[in-house]
Amino acid sequence: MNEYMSRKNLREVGLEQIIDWLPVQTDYGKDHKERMFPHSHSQIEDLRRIYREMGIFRRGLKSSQSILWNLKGFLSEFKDLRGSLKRVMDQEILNEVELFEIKNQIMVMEELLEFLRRYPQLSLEKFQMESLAPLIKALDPEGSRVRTFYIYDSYSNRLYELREKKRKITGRIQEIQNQLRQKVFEELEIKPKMNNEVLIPKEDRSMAKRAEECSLVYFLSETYRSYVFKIVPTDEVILLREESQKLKMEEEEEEFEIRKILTQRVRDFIDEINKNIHIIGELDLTIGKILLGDDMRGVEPRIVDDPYIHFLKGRHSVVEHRLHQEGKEYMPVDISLEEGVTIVTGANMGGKTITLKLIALIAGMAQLGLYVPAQEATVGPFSFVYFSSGDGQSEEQGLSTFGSEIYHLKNLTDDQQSNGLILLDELGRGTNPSEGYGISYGVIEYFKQVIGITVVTTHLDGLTQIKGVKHLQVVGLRNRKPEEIKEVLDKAGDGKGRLEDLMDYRLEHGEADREVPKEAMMIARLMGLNEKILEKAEKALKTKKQEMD
Amino acid sequence: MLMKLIYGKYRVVSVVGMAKNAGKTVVLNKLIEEAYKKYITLGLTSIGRDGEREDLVTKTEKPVIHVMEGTIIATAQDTILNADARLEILEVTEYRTTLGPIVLCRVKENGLVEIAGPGNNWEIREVAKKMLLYGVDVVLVDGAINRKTAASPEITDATILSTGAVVSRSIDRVLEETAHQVELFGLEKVSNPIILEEAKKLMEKSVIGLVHKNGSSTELNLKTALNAGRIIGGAIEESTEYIVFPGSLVRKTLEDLIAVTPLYKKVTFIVHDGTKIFIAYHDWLKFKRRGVRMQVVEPIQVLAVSVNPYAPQGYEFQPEEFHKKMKDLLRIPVIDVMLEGDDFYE
Repeated sequence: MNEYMSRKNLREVGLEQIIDWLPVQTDYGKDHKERMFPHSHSQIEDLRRIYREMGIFRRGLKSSQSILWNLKGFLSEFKDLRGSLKRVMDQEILNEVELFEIKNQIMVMEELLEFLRRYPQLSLEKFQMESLAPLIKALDPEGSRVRTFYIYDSYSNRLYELREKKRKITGRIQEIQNQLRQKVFEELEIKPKMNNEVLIPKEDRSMAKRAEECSLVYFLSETYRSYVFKIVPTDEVILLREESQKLKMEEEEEEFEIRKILTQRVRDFIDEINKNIHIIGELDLTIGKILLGDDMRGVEPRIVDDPYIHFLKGRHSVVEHRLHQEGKEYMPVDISLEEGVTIVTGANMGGKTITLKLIALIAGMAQLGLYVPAQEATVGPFSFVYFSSGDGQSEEQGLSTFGSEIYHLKNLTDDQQSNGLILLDELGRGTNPSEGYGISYGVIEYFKQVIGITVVTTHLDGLTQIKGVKHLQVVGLRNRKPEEIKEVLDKAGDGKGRLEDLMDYRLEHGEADREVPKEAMMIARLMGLNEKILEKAEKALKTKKQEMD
Repeated sequence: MLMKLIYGKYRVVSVVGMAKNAGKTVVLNKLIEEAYKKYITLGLTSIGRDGEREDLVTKTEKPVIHVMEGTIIATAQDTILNADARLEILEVTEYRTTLGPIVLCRVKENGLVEIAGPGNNWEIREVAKKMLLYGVDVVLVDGAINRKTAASPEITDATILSTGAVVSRSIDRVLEETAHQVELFGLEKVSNPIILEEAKKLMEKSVIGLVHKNGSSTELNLKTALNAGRIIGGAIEESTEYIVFPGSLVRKTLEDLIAVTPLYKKVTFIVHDGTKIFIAYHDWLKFKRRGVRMQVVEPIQVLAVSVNPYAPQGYEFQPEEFHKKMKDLLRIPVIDVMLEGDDFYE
C-alpha cells in the first residue's frame, strides 16, 4: 500500500476513512481487510474477477432479505481458532476447552457450507467450503449434534471400562458406608452426617462414653460444642478407595491418549480447516464491501488497461458524509482525465482541492476492488498516486510550504516512475507569484513528458496557455447574477456568508487562453469595499497584463 | 434451612463475607448440600478480582468446592483444566480473566473444582443469565473476600451475609459492624417515584446531581465524589432536597460536605445501593446524629446472616450467646454455620 500511496496521502485524500468504514465481523475478515492492496496493471485480470464475482454475489444477496441476516448470523459465531491450530501444528496436545472450541467452530462451518449450498445464486467457486463431517463425527462420537464437549465414554472401550469400574466402586463404597451409618445409628442412636462424622454434644457425657467404647467410630476432634467421631472405614472401603484413586489416574492417562488421538484427527484436517477459515475471511470482506458500496451508493467501475480515470457524478463520500450531518447536499462532479497534464482553475472555495482528493479516492477505491461513489466510473490502474496539498507544511522536516513542495517534487522526479496519478494542489503557491509561475511552468513541462496523469490546480495566470495542456475550470459563481450574490452576502452580514450555497462545483472545459477568473474583485465590490480601492486595483491589473503581453 | 429461604423466591443469590474466614465457604457448601438433597439444580460462580496482581495473590483464596452432578458452573478455563470433577463444556464466553476465558460447564461427575468467575458486575450478571437459560433453578454467586459488590442488586436478587469472630475480638464490635452492614444493605428506597426516576437518570449519566423542590435539577461537573465534598456542599441551595451520587460515597466526601454548609440537614442523599457506601460504623453514627439522611435506588434483600464464633487468630465467642445476641439485634434469620444444630440428629 505504501508504495502506491503514502500514509499521509491515504489520510489526506480520505481513503483511510473509507477503509475504516469498511465493515467486517470476524477476526478472519479483519485479516483479509488488512491484506487488501491496490491492483496494478499486471494484476488487472484479478481485479476484474473481483468485481465480476462481487457482482454475482451481490445479486445473490439481494435476491432475498433473509440471506444477509443469515450470513451475518453465521459470521457472528466465528471465533479466531488460529491459536489452537498453531498448537496443533506445533505437535502439542489440545486441551478439552480447545477441542470444544474446534468442535463448535467446525459445526458452524458445516452449517454455513450447507447454507451456501442451498442458494445456488451465491455459489461462487471461491466460496466452496470443505466439508468437515468426519472430524465432526470424531468430536461428536455419540452423534448428538449438540455443541458441548467432554471426553465421552464412547471414545474407547478402555475408558468406558475404567469409568464403569470406578462407578461400581463408588457405588460399592456408598453402599458399605450406608450400612455402616445404619449400624452406627442402631448402636448409638445418633444419625451420622453425610461426611461420616458423628457429633456428640459435650454435655451428653454418657453418649460420649458410649461412642468411645463403640468400635465402629473413632475420636476425630473436638469443637467448642461437641466431640467429633468418625466412622471407621472397613478394610474393604480402604481397599476400594485405593482402587478408585488408581482408576482415576488411569482414567486421566486414557483421557490424555484420547486427546492425543483427537488432536491428530484435527491435524489430518488442518488444510481443510484453514481453507474454510480463508473462505470465511473472504466472505466477510466481500459482504463488507457490498454493504459499504450500498451505503455510499457506489457503482462497479469499468477497469481499462491503461492509466485512465473518468467518472460521472463522482462524490467524495467522506466530505458528503460530513455535509449530510450538517444537513447540506454534496454537489457531484464529472471528470475525464487522459494521459498528460490537466490544469484546474477556478474560484476560491470552488472545491478544487476536494475534486483532486476525489480523483485520488476513486482511483484508489477502484484499484482496491471497492465500489466507487459515482454514477458511472472507468479506471485504468496507476502504479502510484501522489497528492500534494497546497498548504501542506512538512512538519517532520520542519519545512515551509514552499520547501515541502520542492522536497516532494524532487522525490517524485528523482524516482522517475511512470504511470502515476500526480495531483498537485495550488502549485507554486508557497512562493511569490512570478517565481511561482516559473517553477510551475517548469513542473508542467516536465510532467508533460512523463507517462501518466498529472492534475494541477492553480491561481496563477498564464499556465493554461502552455501547449498540450488541458484546462478545466470550476464553474464557480460565473453563472450567478450579481444580485443573487449580493443577497446572500447581505444576509450573512459579515461577508463570510453562505457563498458555498451558490457555488457550482462542477468542472467545464476551459479555453486555453481563458484567464483565471477574477471573482475576488466582484465579491469585494458586492460586499461594498471602497470603490476607490477597487478602481486602483483594476487599473493595476490592467497595467500588469499589458506588461506581460 | 437456608435453601428454603431462597428456592422459589430468588433466582440469583450472593454470599458475601464481612471478612476472610467469616464462614462464607461453609455457607456455600451447606447450600450445595441442601440443593442436592432437594433436587434443586444450581448454577455456581464467584466474583473474581480485577487486575492481574490481585488475582495472583488471591489465587489460593478462591473457593475449592465439591460440586454435584448436574450443577452448572461458570469459571475460568484454567480451573476447569485442573478440576477433579468431570465437566462437560457448554460454552466459552467472551469474558476474559487472567486464568483464561470464563467457561460454562455442566458437572458430569461429582468432584472438586476451584471457582474463579468473572471480574466485574456486568459480566457476573450476564453469566448468571446464561446459567438460568441452561435451566438451573438458582444461581449462587460467591462474593470475593472484602468484595461486597456481589450483593449489589445490579447483580443478585438477594444476599446472605457471613460474619464472625474474625471481625473483632470484641463481641460487641462484631455485633455493631454486622448490624451496620445489614443497615446499609437495607437502606430505605427512595419513595418519591419522580425523584427515583431522576436519580436513575443521573446515575446512568454518571453525574452528581442536586434535585430541588420545584423538580429542577443541577448537574455537577465532577467525575466522582472523591474529594469533591466541598464543591458539592457549596452547590447546595435552600431549595435543594436530594443529592444523587452515581458512584461510591466515602466518609471524606460527606465530612467535607457537612463542614461547608448547614443546609445538608434538609437534604436526602441518594446512592444506588448499600454496597456503594464506604463509611465505618462509628462515622455512620456520627453522621446520623448530625442529621444526615440516606436513601437508595435499590435496597438489598438480606436473606440471612451466618455467624462463625471461631476466629482463626485463636479466640472464640460463646456460640449460643453470640448467636442469640446477633438474632436479637437483627430482625432476620441468623445461622451458626459451625453450630451443627440443624442436622444434629436428623
